[in-house]
Amino acid sequence: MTSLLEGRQAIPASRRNRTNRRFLWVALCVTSLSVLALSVLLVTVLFQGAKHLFGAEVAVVPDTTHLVSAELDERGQSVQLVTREPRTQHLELLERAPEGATVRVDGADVLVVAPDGAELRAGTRTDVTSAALTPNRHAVRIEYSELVTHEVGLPSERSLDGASIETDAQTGRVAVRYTNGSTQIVGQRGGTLARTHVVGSPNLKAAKDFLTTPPSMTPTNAGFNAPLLGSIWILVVCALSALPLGIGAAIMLEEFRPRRRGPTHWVHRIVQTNVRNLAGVPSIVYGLIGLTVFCRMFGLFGSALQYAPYQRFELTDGRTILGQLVATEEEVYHLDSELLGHVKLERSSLGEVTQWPIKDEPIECHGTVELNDEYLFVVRAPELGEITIDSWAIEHAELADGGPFSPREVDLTFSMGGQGRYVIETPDAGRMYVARDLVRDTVRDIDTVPIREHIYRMGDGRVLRGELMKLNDGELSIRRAIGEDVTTFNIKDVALRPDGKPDYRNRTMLMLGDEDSSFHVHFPMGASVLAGGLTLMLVILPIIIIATQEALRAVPDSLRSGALALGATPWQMVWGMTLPNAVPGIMTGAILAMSRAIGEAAPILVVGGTIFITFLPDNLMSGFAAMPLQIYMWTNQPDPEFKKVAASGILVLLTVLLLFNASAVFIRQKLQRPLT
Amino acid sequence: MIQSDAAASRQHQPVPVELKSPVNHSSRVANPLAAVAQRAIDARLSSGETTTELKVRDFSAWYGDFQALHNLELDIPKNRVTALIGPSGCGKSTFLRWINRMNDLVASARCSGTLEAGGTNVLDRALDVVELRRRVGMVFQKPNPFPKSIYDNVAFGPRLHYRLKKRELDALVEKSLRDAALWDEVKDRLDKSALGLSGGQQQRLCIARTIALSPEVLLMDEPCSALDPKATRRVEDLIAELRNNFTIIIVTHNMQQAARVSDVTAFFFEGRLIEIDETLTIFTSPKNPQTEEYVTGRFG
Ligand SMILES: Nc1ncnc2c1ncn2[C@@H]1O[C@H](COP(=O)(O)OP(=O)(O)O)[C@@H](O)[C@H]1O
Ligand SMILES: [Mg+2]
Repeated sequence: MTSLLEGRQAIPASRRNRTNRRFLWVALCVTSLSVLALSVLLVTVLFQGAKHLFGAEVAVVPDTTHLVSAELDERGQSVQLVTREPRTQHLELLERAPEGATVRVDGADVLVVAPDGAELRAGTRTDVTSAALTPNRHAVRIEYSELVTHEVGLPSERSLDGASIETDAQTGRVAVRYTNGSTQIVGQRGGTLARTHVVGSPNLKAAKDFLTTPPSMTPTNAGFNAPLLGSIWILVVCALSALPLGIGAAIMLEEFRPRRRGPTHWVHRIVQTNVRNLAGVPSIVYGLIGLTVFCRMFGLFGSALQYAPYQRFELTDGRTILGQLVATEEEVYHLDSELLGHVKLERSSLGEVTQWPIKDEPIECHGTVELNDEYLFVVRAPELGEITIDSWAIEHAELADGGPFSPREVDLTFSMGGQGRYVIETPDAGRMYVARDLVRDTVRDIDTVPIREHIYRMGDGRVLRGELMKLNDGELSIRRAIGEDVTTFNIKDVALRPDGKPDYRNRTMLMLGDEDSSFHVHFPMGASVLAGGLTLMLVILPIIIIATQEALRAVPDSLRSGALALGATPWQMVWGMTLPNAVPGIMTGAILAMSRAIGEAAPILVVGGTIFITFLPDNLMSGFAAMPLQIYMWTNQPDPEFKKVAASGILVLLTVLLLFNASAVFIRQKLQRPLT
Repeated sequence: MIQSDAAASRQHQPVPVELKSPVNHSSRVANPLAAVAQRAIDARLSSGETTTELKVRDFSAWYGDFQALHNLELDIPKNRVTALIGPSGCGKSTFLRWINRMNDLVASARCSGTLEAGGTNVLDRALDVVELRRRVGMVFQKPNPFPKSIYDNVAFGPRLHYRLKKRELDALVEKSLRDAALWDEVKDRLDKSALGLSGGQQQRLCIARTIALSPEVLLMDEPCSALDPKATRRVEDLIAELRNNFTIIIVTHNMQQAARVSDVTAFFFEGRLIEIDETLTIFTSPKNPQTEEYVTGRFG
């Protein structure tokens, strides 16, 4: 028989091999490129993050604008920075100098020379740079300089042998360079808030501080505890809900699939197809579902506190009150007032109720904003009194000129934004959003006289800020924050009389458990840990279902037949045979799903994860922060120092992620065994 | 006889299988294969008194539109070994899987007719298959030990059906393994994975697992086809020992095996029962020429 291929030219093997090699080359190039990019990224994050995490020591360093000298002291405990600071002084003259008189400096003496040559000693001063008569000729204005010595302490455990001092002319930065190559900044131009990086030796305390302090607007103080714990809370909720639900769904779909054609068969097919499709749905969509289903619960239970709008309640007597309507009884409305705490309001006294628009009714005033020695922002204005704001309480600040914050006198508007914030706006210093709860407490029981500052809106329209002193027989004493003057008002002058504790009985919201107990649950859930966790559950449920189905499918049918032939019910077969053998696969899938959940930012943002939250969740109804959100916010901050903080956050997130994945690998290794 | 059409088969009466006492037939046996069968029967047949365990009347089975079994009529004797032989695809497994309703798992499978085991109607929709399968155990072609310890493999069945104390369970596991002639080989490694056993041991473990529930009927679908000759031998010996206590139905492709282990043999062809008789008769003087062709290897 003759071959059909006879006389045919074969494709040269070399040509076919070449194609093969070309593919391998392309693959190699792509792989090395991605490995390179990945390592650059990782190294950057590690380097930046480690600096903040392990190397940061927060200290106030002196201003070196007028640096004269910088040297280590003999004992090696500190650095002495000497600066020549410019000063001004007015030397009062006993009598007005004659017209045309000049000033002469002779050594340490400052002399006034009259046109007729007579000299009068105004005073003594060394290092005078300029001296002149004031326009009214009553004094001599001299400018001089003064040497100031700053001592900057150094960590005593460090060896200073061979240490040197380095000065950077451009930034004015003075640093100690240790023999191990690490540096510590001891002085900087402007001086205010510099961080001292001690790179080279890990500072575990700094890392611990980072993990145990709340986020802040100052990068030096920024910690990660709220996002870390918030993430852990929602992940626990997510795992506890997604695992049983997902595994159960997969068992139902896989082991109890309808055998015969019919309606159930079709339902099965539809569900099965959709589970697969859902795994590819963008997570923000789940965020929206979570918002509707969990946070708001279709409005079935009324609005959650967080979503009750701020309203302006105009009373028939002309007074106005701002707040949220939290409950209604037949003839009485309960309001949570911004300014007055909880108030009861007769329905008959209620006039028009209008939506409280964000930033309505701003209080315009002139005052100062400064950063004090304890890094607290202090806003002072006669209308507001003094508001002290922890810098970590500030959610957002746009400073017009960036740079270190210097005290300034500004026109400011103080208003109430939505979402539980105050907005302090200053034309030149920018805008700050302040979490309301951090500025003051809600009046819980006014009769017990809380010793806290509050803002009181008076019936005549004035707004006062101060401490409530006492309340008796309609007399209300408020100690104003500035000047310590005590103002006593008749209770009728206050917009409305605060009235006891909130009465939640008639809330439209469904409350389970006391509000302070850890079993407290309310429906709708609002922006709570529970809602966040359940939303993440939605995100990972399809992944878990699919992973579990795959794992169940990997269990050979012979084992199922074996169990059934021994008289097992389908459930006994699943529980005693299929499921135990699928556990490694399920666990791996579940843990990978959890690592997906931990990095999700979009759905968390939608359901109301908060940024710059400073309290830790303590029950399922607490608000929460989450790691990815916080990192995202930090990367968006204008201060470059925040990039390092963000990198530290990424490091923590990556560590948690790696732990998850490592445990997945471990479980797989430990539990996986041959099935046949 | 071949049932040429359904009408004829419906009138067909079951072949009465009359088990003879172990008289010596060897003088009449010319076929060496039959000699083997004879020896087997001589050695294993006990008293001739038998009762029917399984009564099959007008039994047909389908997979969708395909009819896999046509109007079977047969009785399977209690405490005897019945071998089902026939070429591949003739419906032996189908028949077996209907006896303990494993075919319930096949969506397209359905059947008609009567199938009674120990007086209960197996095909009754209301029958609890869980209880049926405890009474009718099954051993599969490929050994399928569970990926658990040897102990847990044997204890799996009892744990499904009973609440037993540890001591009772220990005794049951030991007895089952002894009955399956496996005890001496595994008694020191009961807590080791069953997957570490050899193929033959695994198959005997599967038998031990099944007899731990004291079933009345033991179905075996080609239990030795995945085993080497030595392991096959041991399983065959085991079957010989079990036949006093269980009604065993065994599917086999191996004529020698059928001859060696069974008391009664049924020949299936294309979904029909061609002949059922005492094994010796089937192998020496079958009534149907097709049977003769098959057992002598000139066919199939
Ligand atoms: N699950 C099934 N679905 C459809 N047809 C089947 C199925 N199982 C077996 N069959 C068919 O039924 C017939 C009998 O099969 P089977 O009982 O397995 O034969 P045997 O065990 O005698 O080799 C064969 O033609 C086979 O193709
Ligand atoms: Mg078969």
